[in-house]
Amino acid sequence: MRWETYKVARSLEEAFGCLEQFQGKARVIAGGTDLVVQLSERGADSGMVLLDISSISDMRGVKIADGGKEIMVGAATTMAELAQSEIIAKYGRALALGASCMGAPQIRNVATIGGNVVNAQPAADGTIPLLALGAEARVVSAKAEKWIALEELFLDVGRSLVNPSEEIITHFRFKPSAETGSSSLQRLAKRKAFTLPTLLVAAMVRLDGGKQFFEEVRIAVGPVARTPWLAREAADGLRGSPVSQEAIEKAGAAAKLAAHPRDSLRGGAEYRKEMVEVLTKRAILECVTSLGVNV
Amino acid sequence: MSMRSISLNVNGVVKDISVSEDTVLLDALRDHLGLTGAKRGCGKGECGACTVLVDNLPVMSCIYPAIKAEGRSIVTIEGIGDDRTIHPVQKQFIEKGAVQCGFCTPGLILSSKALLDRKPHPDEREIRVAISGNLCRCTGYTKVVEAIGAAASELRGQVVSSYRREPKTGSIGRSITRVDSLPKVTGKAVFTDDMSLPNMLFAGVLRSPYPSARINSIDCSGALSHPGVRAALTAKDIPGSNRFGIIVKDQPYLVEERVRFVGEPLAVVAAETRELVKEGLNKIRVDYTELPAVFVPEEAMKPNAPRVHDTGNILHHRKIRKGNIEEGFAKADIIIEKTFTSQTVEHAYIEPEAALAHMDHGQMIVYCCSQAPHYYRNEIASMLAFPINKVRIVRLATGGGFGAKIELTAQPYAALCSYFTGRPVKYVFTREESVITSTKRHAFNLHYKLGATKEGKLTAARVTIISNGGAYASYGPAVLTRSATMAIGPYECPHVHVDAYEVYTNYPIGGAMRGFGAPQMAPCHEAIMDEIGRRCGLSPIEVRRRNLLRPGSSTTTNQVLEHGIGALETLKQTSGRAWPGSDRGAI
Repeated sequence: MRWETYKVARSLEEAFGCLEQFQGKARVIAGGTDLVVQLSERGADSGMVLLDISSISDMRGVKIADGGKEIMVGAATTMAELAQSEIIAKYGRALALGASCMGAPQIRNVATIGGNVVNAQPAADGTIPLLALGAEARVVSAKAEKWIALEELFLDVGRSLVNPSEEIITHFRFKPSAETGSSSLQRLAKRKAFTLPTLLVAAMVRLDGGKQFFEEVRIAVGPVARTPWLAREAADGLRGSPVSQEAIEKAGAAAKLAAHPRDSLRGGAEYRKEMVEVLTKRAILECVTSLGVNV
Repeated sequence: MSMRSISLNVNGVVKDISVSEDTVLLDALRDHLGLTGAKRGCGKGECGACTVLVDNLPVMSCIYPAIKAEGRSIVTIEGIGDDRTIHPVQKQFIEKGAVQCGFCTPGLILSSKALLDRKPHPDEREIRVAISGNLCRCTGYTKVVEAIGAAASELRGQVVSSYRREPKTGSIGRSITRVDSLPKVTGKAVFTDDMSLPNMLFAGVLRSPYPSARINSIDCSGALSHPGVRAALTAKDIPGSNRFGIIVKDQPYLVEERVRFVGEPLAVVAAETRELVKEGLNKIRVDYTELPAVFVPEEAMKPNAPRVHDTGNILHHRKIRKGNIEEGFAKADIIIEKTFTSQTVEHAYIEPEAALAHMDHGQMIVYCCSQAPHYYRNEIASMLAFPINKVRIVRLATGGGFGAKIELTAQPYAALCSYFTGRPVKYVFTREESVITSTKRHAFNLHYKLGATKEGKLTAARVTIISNGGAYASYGPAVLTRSATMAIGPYECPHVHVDAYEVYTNYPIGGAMRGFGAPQMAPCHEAIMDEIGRRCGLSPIEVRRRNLLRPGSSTTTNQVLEHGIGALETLKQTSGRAWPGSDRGAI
C-alpha cells in the first residue's frame, strides 16, 4: 500500500479543513514525483492520507507584485511552467535555468517548486536558485502565516521548518533583478536528464548604476552541506569591490575554502571542492557579462 | 484499502472505474481500462516508457496518482492513431526506422506529439530535450530525432521523402519497412505484461540478501496460510531437475542449501494479486548462516579462497598456442606491456523480464520475452520432468535483450507455479529484480605483452585474461573463448600465447552481452597498436594497415583466411574521417 486515502483540495480552506480533520495523519503532497516513488518503495503507515494541493488555483503561476518590487511565485507552479515563464526568465533567470534542468520533461510537467523546496534536499534544482535570489517562503497554517527566508527554512537533509501535516508553503517571493542585476546557474551532472547534480551553483549579482562595483551578491551552492548552502564569505568579499577578474577569482577561492562537500555516488568530495571554485567563478562571470560588462 | 469510483477522460471517452485509493494512473489504464500501450519499465518515473499526456503534457503515469487524473484529459498511444488513422509521428517512426524493440516507442511518440503540438518548428536541440525523459536502449536516438523532424515537416504540410521503395525483385539492397513496426507505433504490439488470461495468478520470488550463505531452513507455512496465496514453493517441490545452464548445468532454479549471489531465488509464491504476492513473500521465514564470500577473481583463484562451487573456483581455462612465443619476442625490436581492467555492464533493457505460463491439455505453454525459446523449452521440460513436446514457448514482443534475455529469467517460476496451481500464472520482474539478478557483461582483468619489429609488424602476443564469472557459468565459457580468439583483434601475429580464465565468485553472474567477449578486448589491442605506431613513427592508420588481416593471413587459431576479409577496406573507407581536418587519420 502506497497510501490509504488520496484527497485533492481545490482551495486552501478545503486543504486546512482536511489537515485538521485527519489530525496529523494527513500529509501535504504536490506533484508527488519524489513522494510517490518513496511511498511505492517503502509503503505507508495505515491510515495515511495524502492531501494534494497542486490544483489550488491561488497557488499557481508567476506574477509581478507590489508595484514591480517583487516577483510572486505560486508554490504549486510546476517546474516546466517556471522554465517557460517570461517573467522568471527576465527577473530570476537562475530559477528558469534550474527548473529547466530538473529531472526530465515528464517530471517537470508535474513537479512543483513548493515540493522542490519542502523536500529539503541540499542540491535541489529549484531551491538553490531561489536561495541565491534571496527568496522567502510564505508558510501558512490554519492559525497563522509567516514569511521565512529560505536560508532559515532548512534544518537537515530532508527536513525543514515546514510541518507537512499542518502547514503549507503557498508562495515564494523575491526581488526582481533590476537594470544592473542578473542571476545565473551552473550545473555539473553526469547526464543531462534524469540526474541529480554533482554540483549546482547559483549566483545573483547587482552592480552599481555605473556597473563598476558589486553592490549585492548572493551565491548558493549544493550539495556541499546538509542543507542548501550560501557562500557568504565569497559574496561578502565581493560587495563593494570593483568588477574585475581578480575579484571574481577571489570569490571562487573563498567559496571553495568554505565549502565542505562529501563523497557520494555522484562525485568525490575533493573533485566537488575544486569545482565549487570553478562554477562559482563561472556563475558570477556569467551574471556580469550578461550585464554587458567585460572583465 | 478502500476502493473508490473515479471517472477518467481517456482519449476523449469518459470511463467510470473502481480503483483502490493508491492506484497510479498507469495501473488504472493497463489493469482497469485494458490500455496496455503505456508500459511499465521502472515504476519510479525514471525511464519514460509509461508516458501519457495529461492535459496535453507528457507525464510519468507510473508515479501519477489515478485520483489526481480525475477531471483532466488523458491521451494514450491508443488515442492518437491506429492502423487506419496513423498520426504523422507514428508514420515517420516507421518510415525512418526509429522503431526497434518497440517498448519505449509509445512513450517516445507521445512526448514527440506533445512537442509538435506546441512547437511546429522544433530544432534538433528542442527535439532532444523533449525526448530526454524517454530512455531507449536500442536506437541510439539518431533515427528517432530524424523521425520527429520529418513528422514536424509533414505536419506543416511539407512533402517528406520516403526511404521506402517498392521492391521489384526482393529486398536486398533496399530499405524495407519492419514487419512489426505498425503494431509497435500504435501500442498494439503485445509484450508479455500486456497479456492476461482468465483466472490468472501472479508470482514473485523470495531472493537472498546475502552473497554467500547456507540455508538451514525455509518455512513457507506463513505464506501458505495467508489469504489469497495459492502456492509457496521451494527447491524440494521441483518435480524434475533443479539444475540449468546452457553450457554447464551448475545453477539451481531454487536454492537447496547454498546461496552464491545476492538475489538468488529461494522460494516462489503465487497469489491472486500482485499485492498479495508481496505479502506472501514477507511471510516466508528463512534461516541463513552467512558464509565467507569472494568477489575478486584473482582472490578466488588462490588455493585457500572460499569455494563458490565444490568443483573449485576456476570454471574454465581457455588456451591458445600459435607458433613459438619465445621466438616471437626474440624477433621483436620493441616490446610493450600493459594491464587493463574492464567493468561489469548491465544491459538495462527497458522491458523487465516477464513470463506468463499456463497448462493447456497437459502441455505447458509459456509466453515470454526471449532471445532463446528452444533453450527455455528444453530446460523447463527437464525441470517439470515433461517430454519436450509437452512444453511450448511462445516468444512475444521482446523489449530489448542485448544478450541477457538469452537466459532463463521469469519463465521457470511462472511455469512451476502454473504446474502446481493449474492456473495461468504471470511473473514480471521489478526493475530492481532485473538489475540485481540479470546476467552482466563480464568484468575482465587483462595483461598484454606485445612485440613488434621496428617497422611496426607484430611478432608476438602474450595475453592473460581473467574473467569475473560471478556465481554461475551461464554463457561464460563461450564468451571467454571468443575473448581469447579476439585477443589481438583483426591483426595478424605469427606467435600467440593466450591464457584465459573464467573464475567463479559471489558476484552477479556474467553472461551474454552484445559483442560477446570481443568488446572487452578492443580497447586493449587498439591502445597498444597506437603505442607501437608512436614508437615506430607511424600514423595510427599506417600501423594498423601493416598488421590487418588480409587474404592469406592466419588468425590466432591458425585459420588461414582466403576471402571476404573486410578489414583493410574498412580502414580505407574510414580513414580521414576519424579526425576531420587532421592528417592523423590519413593513409
